[in-house]
Amino acid sequence: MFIYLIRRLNLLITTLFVISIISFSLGHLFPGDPVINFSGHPSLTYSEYQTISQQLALDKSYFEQYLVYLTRIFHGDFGVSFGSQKPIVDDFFRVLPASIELSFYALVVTLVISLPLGLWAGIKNNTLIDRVIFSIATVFNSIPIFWVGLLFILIFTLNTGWLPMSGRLNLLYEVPTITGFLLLDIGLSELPNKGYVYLDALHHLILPTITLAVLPVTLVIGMMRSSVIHVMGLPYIKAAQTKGLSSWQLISRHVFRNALLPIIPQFGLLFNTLVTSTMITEVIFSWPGIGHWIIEAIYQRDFPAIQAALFIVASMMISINVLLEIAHMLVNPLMRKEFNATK
Amino acid sequence: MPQSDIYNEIEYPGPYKQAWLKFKQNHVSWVCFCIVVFFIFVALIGPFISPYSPYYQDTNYVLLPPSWQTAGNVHFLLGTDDLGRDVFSRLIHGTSLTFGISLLVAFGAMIIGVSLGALAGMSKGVRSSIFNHLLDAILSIPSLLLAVVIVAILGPGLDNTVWAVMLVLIPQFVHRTQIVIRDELKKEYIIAARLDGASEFHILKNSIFPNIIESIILQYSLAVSAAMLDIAALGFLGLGAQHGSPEWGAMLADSIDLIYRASWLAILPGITMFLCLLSVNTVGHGLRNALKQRSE
Repeated sequence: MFIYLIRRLNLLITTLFVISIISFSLGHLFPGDPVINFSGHPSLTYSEYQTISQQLALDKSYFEQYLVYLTRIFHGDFGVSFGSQKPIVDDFFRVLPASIELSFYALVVTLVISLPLGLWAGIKNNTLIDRVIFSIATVFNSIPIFWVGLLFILIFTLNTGWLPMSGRLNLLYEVPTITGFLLLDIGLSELPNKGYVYLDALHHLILPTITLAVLPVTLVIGMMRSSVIHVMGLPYIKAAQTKGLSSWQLISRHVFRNALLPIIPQFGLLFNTLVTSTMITEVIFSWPGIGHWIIEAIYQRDFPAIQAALFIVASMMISINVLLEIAHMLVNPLMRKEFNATK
Repeated sequence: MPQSDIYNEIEYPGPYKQAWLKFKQNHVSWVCFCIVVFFIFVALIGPFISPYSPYYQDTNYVLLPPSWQTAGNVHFLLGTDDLGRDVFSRLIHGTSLTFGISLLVAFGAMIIGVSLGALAGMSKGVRSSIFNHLLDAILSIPSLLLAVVIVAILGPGLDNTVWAVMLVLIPQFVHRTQIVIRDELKKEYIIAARLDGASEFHILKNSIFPNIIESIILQYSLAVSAAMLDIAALGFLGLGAQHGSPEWGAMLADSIDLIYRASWLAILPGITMFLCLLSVNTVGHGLRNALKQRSE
C-alpha cells in the first residue's frame, strides 16, 4: 500500500514537472518578447526591461530560466495580466469559485440523473427500457454543447421568457463577495429579502447547469450501464438470487455497490469533459468563471494569463485523477488484492 | 455442423467479413453508416453541386425564411442569412469544411499516433516509462484548453485549428494503440511467433497489426466526432474559422446576433451537425458491438 502511494506520488510529481516544462516553453513560443510574456508588463522602459530580464534570468541559458520559473511558481507568482495589470493568481482565484459552483451543481445533477438511469438500463439489459435509455443517451451525446445552449436560450428565454439569459444574478441585487460562491454569499450577506435573491440566483443557475450536465450525464449512463451488465453476469449475483433475495435487496446490496466501484477512476475522464464543457457554457451564458476568463484572455492576447491557466488547470486535473485512483484503491478491496498477495 | 455440399464450394467468411455481416445485421447502424457515406459524398463533391457560392450575396433576398414557410422562396431552399447568402449552399460547403477536415485530421492523427503507439507499446523499461509519463501529462490537459493554447501560439484561423486539433488527437491514438498492443503481446500466438524466431518488427507487422486494426478503426470513429466537435467549438468561439466562413461552428456563432429574428440560422447548422455527429457515433457503437459479438 505504502509503495503504491509512493508510486502514485511519483507519477503526480513527474507529470507536474512535464506540465511545468510545457508551460515554461509557452513563454518562448507565444508571439512577442519573452521578457514581456513572462512578466506581463506590456510597455517597459529600457532600464526596467534590463532589470526584469535579469530577475527572470532571461539573459542566461534555458535551463537557468526554467529554474527561476519553477521557483516563481512555487511562490505563486505567475506575473501580472496584460489586461488588468493585477497578479494573475488573484484574478484566477477571483473567478474560480463561480466555475467550481457551476461545475459542482452540474456534477450533482449528473450523478442524480445518470446513476439510477444507468443502473436501470443495465439491469433491464436487452429490453425495451434499456434500448430507450441507451438511444436517448446516444442522441444527447451527439448534440454539440454550444448548440444546446443556444436552443435553451431560444426556447426558455426569448420565446417564453421563463428564465434569464446570462450572468449569475439580477443587477438589482448587490451581493458582497465574501467566499465567491454565490449561494453562500447570499446567506452570509445582510440583504433585506434573501428569499427573492435566492430565487433569482437559482433562476440564473438552471440553464447553465442543465447545459453543462448534458454531456456528463450521457457519459455516466454509458459507464454505469456497461459496469452493471458486467456485474450482473458474475457468479455471486446468481448465488444471491438462489439465496432468495428480493430484487430490491439484490440491487441495493450487491449490484449497485459493485458496479459503482470500477467506474470511480473513469471519473477523471468525466472531469476532463466537464472542464471543456464549462469553457463553452460560460461563454454562452456570460458566466464569470474560469472558462470565460481564459477565452477573454485569448481574445486580448493575454499570454501570461493563458500560460498560467494551462499550468493551474492541468495540475488540478492531474491531482483529481491521482486522488480518484487512490480513493479507488482505498474503497475497492479487489484492487488491493494484488499487493496483499505479493507482499 | 454436417455439410452435404462439396467442401470446396463452402465459403467461410473471414474475420473482417464476419464483423461486417454482424454490423449490417443491426439496422440502425446500417442506416447511420449510409448517412455517413452520404455526408462523405457531399463533402467530396458538395462544392461542385451547391446552387450558389457560399459567399455570394443576393441583396434582394435578405433574411429569407426557409422555403416551406409562407414568406420563403423556393430558389433559396433553406433561406438566406443577413447578407443574403444562401444557407443551403453554405451548409454544403460547411460539410466539406467541418466534416471533411475532421476526417482528414483524424486520419493524419491516426497515422502518427499509431506509429508512435507501436513504438511505445513494443518498448519496455525506462523508455516506455518516460513515454507514459509524457502521455499522461498531455492527456490530463482538457482537449479544448490544449487546442486553445495551440491556437494562441499559431494565431486564429481554420488552418491553424487543423494543427491544433491534430495535436490534441494524437495522444489519444497513442494511448489506445499502446493499450491494445500490450494486450496482444500477452497472448500465446505472439509467444509462438517469438519462439519461431520472428523479429520484433515482423511480429508487429504480421501478427499484432492485423489483430488490432479494428480497435484502431473504432478509435478513428471516436476521433472524427471529437475532431468535428473541436473544430466547430473553436469556430464558435471565434478562434478557428473566422466570421463569415461557412464552417458550421462559425455559422452558429454568426447566428447569435439574429437568433430572435431568424432562428433558422441557428437551428439548421445545428441540426446538420447533430445528424452528422449522431451517425458517426452510432457507426462507432455498431462497430464495437459487431466486434464484441464476433469474439463471443
